[in-house]
Amino acid sequence: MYFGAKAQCALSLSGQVTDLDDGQELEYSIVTLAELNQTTTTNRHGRFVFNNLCAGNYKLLVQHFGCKDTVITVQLQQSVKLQIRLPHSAFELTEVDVMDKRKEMRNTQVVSELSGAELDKTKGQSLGDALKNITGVTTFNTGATISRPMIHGMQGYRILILNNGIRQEGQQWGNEHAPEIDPFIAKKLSVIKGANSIRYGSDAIAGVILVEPGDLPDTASVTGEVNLAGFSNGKTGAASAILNGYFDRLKNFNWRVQGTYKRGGTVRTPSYFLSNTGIEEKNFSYTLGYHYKKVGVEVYYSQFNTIVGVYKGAHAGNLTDLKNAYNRSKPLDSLAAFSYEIDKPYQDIAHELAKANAHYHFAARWRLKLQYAWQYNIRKEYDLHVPLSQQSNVKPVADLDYRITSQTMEGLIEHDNIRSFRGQFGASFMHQSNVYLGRFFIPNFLNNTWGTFLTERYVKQHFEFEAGLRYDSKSLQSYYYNNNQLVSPLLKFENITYNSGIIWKPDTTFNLLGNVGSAWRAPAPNELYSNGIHHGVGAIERGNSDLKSERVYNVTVSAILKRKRISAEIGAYVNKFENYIYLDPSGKSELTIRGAFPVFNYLQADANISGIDAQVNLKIFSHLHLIAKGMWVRGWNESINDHLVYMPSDRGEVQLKYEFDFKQLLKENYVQMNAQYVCKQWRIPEGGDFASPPGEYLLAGVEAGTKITMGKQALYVGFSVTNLLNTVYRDYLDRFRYYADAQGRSYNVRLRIPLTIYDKK
Amino acid sequence: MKTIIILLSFFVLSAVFTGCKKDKKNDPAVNNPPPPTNENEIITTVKLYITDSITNTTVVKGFSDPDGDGAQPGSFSNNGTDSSFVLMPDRTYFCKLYFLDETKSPVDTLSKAIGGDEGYVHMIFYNGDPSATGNYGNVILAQSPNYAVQLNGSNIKISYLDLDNGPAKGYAQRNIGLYTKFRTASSPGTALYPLRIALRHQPGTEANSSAKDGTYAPGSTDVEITFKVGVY
Repeated sequence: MYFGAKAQCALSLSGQVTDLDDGQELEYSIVTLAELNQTTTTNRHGRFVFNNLCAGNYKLLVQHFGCKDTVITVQLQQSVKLQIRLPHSAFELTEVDVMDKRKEMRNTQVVSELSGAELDKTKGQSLGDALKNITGVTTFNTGATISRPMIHGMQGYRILILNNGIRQEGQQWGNEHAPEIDPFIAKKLSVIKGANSIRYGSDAIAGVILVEPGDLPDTASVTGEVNLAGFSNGKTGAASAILNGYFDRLKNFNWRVQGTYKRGGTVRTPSYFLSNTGIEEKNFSYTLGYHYKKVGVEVYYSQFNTIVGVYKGAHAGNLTDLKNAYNRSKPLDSLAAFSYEIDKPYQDIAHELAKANAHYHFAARWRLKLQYAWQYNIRKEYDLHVPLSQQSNVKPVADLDYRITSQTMEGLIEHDNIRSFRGQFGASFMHQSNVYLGRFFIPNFLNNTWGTFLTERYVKQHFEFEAGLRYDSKSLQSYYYNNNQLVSPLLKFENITYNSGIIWKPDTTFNLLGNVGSAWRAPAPNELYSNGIHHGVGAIERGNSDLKSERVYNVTVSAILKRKRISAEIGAYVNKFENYIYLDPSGKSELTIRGAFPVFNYLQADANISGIDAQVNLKIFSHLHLIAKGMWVRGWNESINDHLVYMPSDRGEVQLKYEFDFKQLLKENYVQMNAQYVCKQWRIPEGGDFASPPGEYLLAGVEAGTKITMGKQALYVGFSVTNLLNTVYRDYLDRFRYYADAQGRSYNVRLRIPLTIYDKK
Repeated sequence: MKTIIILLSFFVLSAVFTGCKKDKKNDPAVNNPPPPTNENEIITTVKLYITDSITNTTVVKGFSDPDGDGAQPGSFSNNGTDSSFVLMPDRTYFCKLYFLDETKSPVDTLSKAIGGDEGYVHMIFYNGDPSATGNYGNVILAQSPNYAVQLNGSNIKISYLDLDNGPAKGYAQRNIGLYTKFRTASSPGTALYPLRIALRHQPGTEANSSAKDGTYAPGSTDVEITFKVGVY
């Protein structure tokens, strides 16, 4: 307490500005001391300070975008710290902007994101590999070039991927089918872990992956970015460029063009090359947006094209071949050399997406959103098997050829903050048509799914409560030949899902989240109708047309801590499944002309998938951080009292990061060492596999990055070495583990060049 | 103006870049899936003709899988009794293998092509106990062009009598195994031993069209059936 001599004008007036409704810290609030004509803006935490003030009466004007101007009278006798809570403004226009700038309602489930520098580190990698940086996410691989994301051990139709807001529809049933998305379009990759069917409908059982581009500019400018990445293993290079702008003459229009090219050759294990593991990718997209007062419209078109070679040594003719391959210490063609050539077997996939969406603020705090999308996915797979007398100069006909067209339509009405309630009401419809040429594995089908949902959230400063309900109806009409007879069975599925969650926020440093929900998915075409040898796996798979929808009841509890020296996130979840669909080893073999094959049947059972994801970030000294991550997953089949197949083993990762500045030229520098330990997966079902799972392994890596500033141009550079110790290992979640080791060491470099062609600001 | 030029060139570049590869126009109707015709040859039947060199009588043992490696299982002919047979000890037999495609009319004898034009990328392997390691239960007695093996268990010595068209394609002369001589030793007892016959298809790459090197390892299996044979 000061006993101020009049000459001592050393008092301070500081404070924090927060949103009255949800307690969010308001950055960029303008705080003005009228008497002294001094103005300051609040920082990231909403804090401001005025120093060297004399005692007296002051009027403080606090302004924030979307909030009501507030005047506070302060009688300053001693230094004070104010807590200022701003209510929302009633003005229509600012409501619009506030709703636009507010992200879609935060979840009562944990949302993990990769953005900024953390996302930059993953440039050049596939989507699955990039997402591995998020705790709880692993990949199911078909070698190093085909990577499918897995959340808590679940993949395929148990995960929903939203590509720029549209559900990605292709042939998700195949373990060897990677999502056809160019991660270069994303400014942010997010993963919502947990049952999420309310908002998105079927398939969001383990969670939702969102691939989101950045916002289009809204001031006259043309900016962009060029990204280059190179990887020594596979001599892979990727280049991507984005250009976005806001037309100067044509006001209210903004646009973006983007393109990516990626080319890679033979991947190498520590001891040998894996022949025919090259990849080529050519992608591009265009966006055009229009925004005027209460209306916004956007159209988007993207194309993804890839040809990816499949390791030749991974072809198993029959069980004998598979067992022989597994018992070999080196694959037969271990003398293969490096090449960019892609030969049979390979996959040739193209994915087109065209979407249009619009939003309209039809009343204060109310918004209507409409979205339509059209997708066409064509997937051709060329086997190693060459028919008896095929000439090599005849144009190859694909062995498997599927084309699936999906149209999705969605309408949504959202309201913001009415008596502390925020909510959404929506309806969606999808029409899908799948045709095949070539060999039968899944039938032709027509799929019509529609759904409607309502969700409301009650938001207060220290807690939030949410509840939601959804109804879905799906009809699946398939066409295929059974014993030379054309059949066209019709199946119908109906599901109601619900969700309820709570967030407790005692202060800004700690959040406790709890969520209870349900989700569903209809059986996949291969689970219903496959019948015959699943080539490349050495097994006969029999579908089951009586399968019902799979349902899950999920409970998740998470705690998020953000303090100065430590931040941590820990989540525990339990998934109880009804009618979990799985491949059951029958124990019997069937004779075909190609030999004896074990038979697997698709069955349903009650199952359980539970686990814990944890991440801790510790600031040891001011520039030194220690990051530790851990993931534990347990999958159990209640009906046969045995483990579930393909669950990821327990794993942990430790990172040590040192950040520093070096003169003016090199800023934002960091050096980091990583070590990841993956346990052996011994929790496997009996008879469910041909070979025992591979052993545990340790992978080490180093990385470094810097920002070089040359005049006005910045250049972000990053180096890394993955599998630094050239560890020889095989991963349980890699189909190639029967045949070969995983990738060896790779030296990688990446470059990001932000461009400002012109900026009126 | 500059922006428009940049945009236009981008549109043009990306269109040229990827080409118009969409086959949408040629997509068939959804309610008309392709009927299961097999334009490619598939092997549906294997026949082993065994001729006793002394009596000159011929016995045929067969295996048939009507849809190749499709959904329906295959089986040994004559209600399954063809799965096993007995040979006399100390006797020489001449054997011929036929591979047929019985989905075609008239029946297509694929072994003709395998023995002829396609010989340089095919080889047949006769193995003893399929679960044995190391040479799959064989003792290799001689290499091509006089390839001979001795099977474990039954102790049958199999000599290959045919030659492939390797030299015509620029490769070493090797055997195929459609025509063989079986020489039985003294009886090892009345037990039945495995006789596994595998047709290996061993094409190479576009650069090097044959991967055939006289061993089982390269390529993949087109046919694999296991008989049970006794020598007594």
